[in-house]
Amino acid sequence: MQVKVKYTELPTIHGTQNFSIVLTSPCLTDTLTLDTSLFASPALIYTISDPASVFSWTDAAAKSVKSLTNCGTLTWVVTKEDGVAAVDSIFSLGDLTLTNKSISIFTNDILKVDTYKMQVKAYYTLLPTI
Amino acid sequence: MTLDTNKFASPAFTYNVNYAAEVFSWTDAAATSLKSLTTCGPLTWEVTMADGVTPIDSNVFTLETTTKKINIYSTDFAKV
Repeated sequence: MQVKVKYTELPTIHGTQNFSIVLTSPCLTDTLTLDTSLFASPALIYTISDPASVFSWTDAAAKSVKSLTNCGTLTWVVTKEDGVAAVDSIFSLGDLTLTNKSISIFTNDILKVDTYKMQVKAYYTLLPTI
Repeated sequence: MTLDTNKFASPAFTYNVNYAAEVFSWTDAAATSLKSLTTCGPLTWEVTMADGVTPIDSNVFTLETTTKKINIYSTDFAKV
């Protein structure tokens, strides 16, 4: 930036100086860690044909390494372990933008007995690389 | 006239995006008359981009030259 000052009545008499204002953010070098006691393996055990079971969490399950609170909202993504594929059809993702995020599980299909490996990802909505 | 290079430094101020608004301010004392004159009347201040012409980014900076302050606020991390 440049600041210029002049006598109001003698505008040809002036001085100028370049200066700068830096916009930065500690959020850019932050890291989010997820609650491994919650997102464990297994995080939940469901018995086929039982009533629907719900696995739930909140934003508190993600911690800023720098303890930052000004980095904006979090976005949550749940996929298969590869980080890309959608979760199996026995799982129903709730609205992950709500305070209480959830995955409900229900099936009567005995052939669905298995261990389903998934990935949960949280990032600052405005900074998808964090 | 010369300007206070400590006040108008590079950087003169650092703002963290998405934090509360902050103010960079100064007074007429930041300008010094080379002849130490005090009877030349009031001062007028202008702030622009470094080219001396382009207005500063109004999405981030709100300039108040009368009160000699620049309010700074942004939630846009792309402005870093």
